[in-house]
Amino acid sequence: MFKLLLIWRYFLKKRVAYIAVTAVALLVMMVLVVLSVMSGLLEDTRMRNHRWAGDVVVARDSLVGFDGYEEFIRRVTENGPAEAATPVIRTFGLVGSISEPDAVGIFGVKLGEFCRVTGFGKTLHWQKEKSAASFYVPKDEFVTPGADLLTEQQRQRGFIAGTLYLAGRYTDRPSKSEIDKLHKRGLEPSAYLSWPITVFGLSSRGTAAGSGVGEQQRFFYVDDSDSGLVDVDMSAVYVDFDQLQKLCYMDGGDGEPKRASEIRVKLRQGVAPEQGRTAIAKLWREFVTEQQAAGRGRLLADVKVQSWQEYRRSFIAPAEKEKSLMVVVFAMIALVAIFIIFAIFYMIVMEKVKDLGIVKSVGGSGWAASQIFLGYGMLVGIVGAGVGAVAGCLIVWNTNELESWLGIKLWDPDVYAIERIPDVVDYSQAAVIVLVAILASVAGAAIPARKAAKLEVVEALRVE
Amino acid sequence: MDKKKETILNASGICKSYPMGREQLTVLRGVDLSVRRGEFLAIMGASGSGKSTLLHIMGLLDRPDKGQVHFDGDDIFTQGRGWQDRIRNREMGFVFQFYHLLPELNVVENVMLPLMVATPLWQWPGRRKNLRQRALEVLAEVGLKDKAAQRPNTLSGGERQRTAIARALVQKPRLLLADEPTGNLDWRAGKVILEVLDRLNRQGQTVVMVTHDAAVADLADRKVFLRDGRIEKPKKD
Ligand SMILES: Nc1ncnc2c1ncn2[C@@H]1O[C@H](COP(=O)(O)OP(=O)(O)O)[C@@H](O)[C@H]1O
Ligand SMILES: [Mg+2]
Repeated sequence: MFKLLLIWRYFLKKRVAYIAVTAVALLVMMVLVVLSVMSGLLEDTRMRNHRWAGDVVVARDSLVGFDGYEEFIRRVTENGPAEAATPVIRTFGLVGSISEPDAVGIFGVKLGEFCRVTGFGKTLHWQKEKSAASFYVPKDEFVTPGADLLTEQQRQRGFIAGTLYLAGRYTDRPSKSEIDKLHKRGLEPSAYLSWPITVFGLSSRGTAAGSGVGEQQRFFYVDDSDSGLVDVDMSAVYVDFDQLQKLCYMDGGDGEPKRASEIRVKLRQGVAPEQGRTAIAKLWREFVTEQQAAGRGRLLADVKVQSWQEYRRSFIAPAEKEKSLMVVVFAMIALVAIFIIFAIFYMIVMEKVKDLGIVKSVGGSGWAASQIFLGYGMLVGIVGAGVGAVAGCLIVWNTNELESWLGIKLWDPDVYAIERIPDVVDYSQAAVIVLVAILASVAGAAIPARKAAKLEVVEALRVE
Repeated sequence: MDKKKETILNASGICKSYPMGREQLTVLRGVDLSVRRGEFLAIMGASGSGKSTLLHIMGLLDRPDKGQVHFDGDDIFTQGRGWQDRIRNREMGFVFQFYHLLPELNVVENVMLPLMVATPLWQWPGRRKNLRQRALEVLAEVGLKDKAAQRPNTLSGGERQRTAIARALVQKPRLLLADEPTGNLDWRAGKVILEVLDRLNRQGQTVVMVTHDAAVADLADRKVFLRDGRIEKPKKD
């Protein structure tokens, strides 16, 4: 009984209790905020990569690509684990005048399908809200001034540019935020944006196709994509799959089968990512065996079936490497925090060893006396960690508001693909942090209390 | 009269030394002392002669290097911890020179501390009222009833010492041990304390008091002197 009373009194009447609560709260808050932002940034990176790539990617590194994609898409979607799948052509091209061209990555996509398989639609500017994005140049003076002067054939040839590339291409080089401003005012760079794009076709044997000096075609701006992936947004231009296939001589015009570079796959709901990838890989092997038996599998042998993480590994890896570095830094922060909490309680209890002596002198057992300090440590730990967790959550939830309220920009959106600071708390992480803080509090109290409980009563009383 | 002769506590051959650098400081070199039921015994001696050390050993607050203490026939240092805790809680009340009150508790709560220690949590709600009543009674005995709700740091030295005495008495111990209870007080406050102890003794409480002050010791039925680590041969018995 006296234990609870003493614990409560120590808690209420001692200023050091408030200091300890504050210290524990601050440490818990710090750890929670750091961890949330850190894992939020990584989660963000993963999300962007996943959004852009889709769940599973069947791809061949060679620019020649591979055939049979239509048949395989039919198989994975009809009976396989895929909800949807779409072919993509990935090649290199030149944009701009012959005298001063930019080398870019050209993606040929079936835009409607591509948006269903991946989250690409959400990265678009003008067509973000649209249910079906399209390369068809709209007769919209805002988006594409002068579009009504284009022929029907020209209007089939829209392009979508990576935002960062678009910003860089623009003659007076506006920054991304300036382009955003232009967007907002309805003033569109697209008046200037009809680009001659040159690509170099290869035959299925890997030899130069067509004239051999590249095929050029003029494309018209319809939209830009802000995937948040710097490597993509810096250099990607998306055009219609069929247009690009034809331009690259991959459309079977030479009597060979049609070719694509990749198949992006969206897994059915409820299919675990790794399980889905394995199933598709199995289907692919069967498909290849079958095709080879029929003498058609020449381009299929070195096609890889990858999860989106594998597909984007070289871009996720740096972030993950950064994360492991952060984990080390974080572990140090956490260790320091634990040690400080431990030290606080150690000192508080050392200061109260005399009280322990008093309790023992009137017949309290050593264990009962040390329970007071355990309880005290636990109470301060629980209150402190609770307050800290709440404060940490409030800070994390409101980081972006705080940032703008303070008038600072932690990450310049022109440089980093970070528009919002992560503001999500992982509750299981928070629970672990709170638990560890409470444990550190109790341990910090327990060790000196145990020692003090073993002293003879007079020895404890002598401690001032 | 017979009853007065009965020994309640007997210390024999008590030795205690403290390490002092490389040397040993031997404080007690074989103390033999009996306390009889109902008496008021004063242990006298110069400052540093080992009076406190001896009283602590008799009160189960410290261990001797050698020797035994029998309380009611039991050798107290060979008993288990639970038994020792119970003796400290119920059978012996200890009054320290420097009070040793818990500053976070008020006066009546300090007095209740031994009662609280002895009461399991689940029995507390039912017994709280009675125990508090008991603590207030003892406080009244030492003349502090009206200070019950105050915190120790708002009390004078004499009032703190009376609180400590009330705490020592609250379990009606068979033996009250007081270590220079007036040593830290002015004459007037000391007198009140001594009156309280005297009254208690008249009511039958066995009291052992340590003091270096002859005037204070005059109150006692019997005085012993501690010198050179031993009890001097009593002058009269
Ligand atoms: N824990 C201790 N360590 C070392 N010396 C001690 C300790 N406790 C007491 N002493 C020494 O033992 C001697 C006797 O102390 P004490 O019993 O307090 O004497 P008294 O109460 O008669 O003044 C003193 O010299 C004191 O310094
Ligand atoms: Mg002394």
